[in-house]
Amino acid sequence: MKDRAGTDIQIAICGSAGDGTIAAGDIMKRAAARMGFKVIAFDLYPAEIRGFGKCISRIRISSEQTYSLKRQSDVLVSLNDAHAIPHAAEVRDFGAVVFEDTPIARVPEGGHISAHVKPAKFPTP
Amino acid sequence: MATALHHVIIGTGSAGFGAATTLRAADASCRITMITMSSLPFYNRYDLPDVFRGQHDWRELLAVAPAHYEELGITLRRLSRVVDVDGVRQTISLAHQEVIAYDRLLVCAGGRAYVPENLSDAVELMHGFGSFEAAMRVHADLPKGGTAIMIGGDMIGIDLALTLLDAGYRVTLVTNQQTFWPHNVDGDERDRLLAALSAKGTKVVEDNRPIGVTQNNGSMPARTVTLEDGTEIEGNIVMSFCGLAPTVEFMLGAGVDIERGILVDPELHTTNGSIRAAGDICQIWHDEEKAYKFYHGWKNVRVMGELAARNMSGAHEAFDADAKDQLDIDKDGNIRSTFWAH
Repeated sequence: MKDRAGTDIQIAICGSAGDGTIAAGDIMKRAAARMGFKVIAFDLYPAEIRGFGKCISRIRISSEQTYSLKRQSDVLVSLNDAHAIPHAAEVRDFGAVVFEDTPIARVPEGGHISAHVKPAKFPTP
Repeated sequence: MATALHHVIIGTGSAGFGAATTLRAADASCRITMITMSSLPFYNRYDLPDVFRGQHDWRELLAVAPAHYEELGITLRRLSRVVDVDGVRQTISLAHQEVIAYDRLLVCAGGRAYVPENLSDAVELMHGFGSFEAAMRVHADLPKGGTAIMIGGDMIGIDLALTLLDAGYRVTLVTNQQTFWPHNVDGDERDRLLAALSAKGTKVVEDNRPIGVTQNNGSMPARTVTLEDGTEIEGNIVMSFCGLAPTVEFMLGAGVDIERGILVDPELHTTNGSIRAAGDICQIWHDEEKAYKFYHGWKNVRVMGELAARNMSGAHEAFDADAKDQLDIDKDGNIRSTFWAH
């Protein structure tokens, strides 16, 4: 773990139910744990019994044991812009917002998450 | 209550940033959106050679802190490529399928490095230098003391060449008509300038057109440039510095006149009443010469951006089309150009 000392990164994955959001978070947390990192994660499921509600998986990966999630994430991965846009602000300055660059349909102004990435944060298609 | 005007600026370089701050100063309530293909907020591209002086943190290159955009109420859209401008509906389409409506549009998208037609097949083997990311790739691929082969030169390339020489690298300059672009020099003046470059350590290759670039697999240096007479030059990287080609493709449906650049009158109006253009992308009408002319260099571009913004806010000022470019050599043998002045 010597070369990983000081690692403390929180990734938020946000999508719609059915996008594989929770599954993606699960894969990431297991992979990080197997690499020897300390992992804290918290998943949010939609309240809806039917339909496409919002899912978020937040994973904090660190070299030292931590006991809570960070207030701001270092990276936000958007699997669904409509759900992820309200969370663009939770990314810290100089953090990254990862998104799909080529939606299949036209979107109005502000409908793409890149419109909500502030200048101090990195858009990452 | 009147709706706030939405000013959209395509391009976030010197012209675009100057325009945005001028627009905000003139109107506190208007909406301002800047669109760029760059991943970074505005930084001075003339400072890119500083990566060879140890400047590797992009945050140090930024002209203003990222928070400044929010303080000014400017929406900055990065990594956003404009694919179409509809000059009738007054909308802009982005590559990621988003459509943005504007009231007034200022186009300052600049240009990309021009590569001679006969070398277009070798573009993949050449390094660019038009962005921080590209500059860092050059830094990574050019070993300490290695050789950069520059085709053409132009004032962007010559600035880099002088920095490389100063930092202990070697530079081979294969000259052509664009060697001192955008300055137009020939005869004795050109010879004096080339001699000044040689005196700084540049290996100057004249009157020999490059016809191909090849990759040397598994050996160093990594590239060979073949010249018209069969001579081969080896270097670690090859770069084309032959001036700028204005990026106007996305404006073809905008209802503006385009020659090589977007044609504008001295007040920087295009032929579409709601669209103006400024910077390296536009050609400005020169009434005495009866011709549309490009004006390059940081100062010209910045002045154009600010002028366009004032005119968008109701002024009727004309660009000083007689601004003279200067290129000379000082008493210490250093080349000086108004192109670099900022």
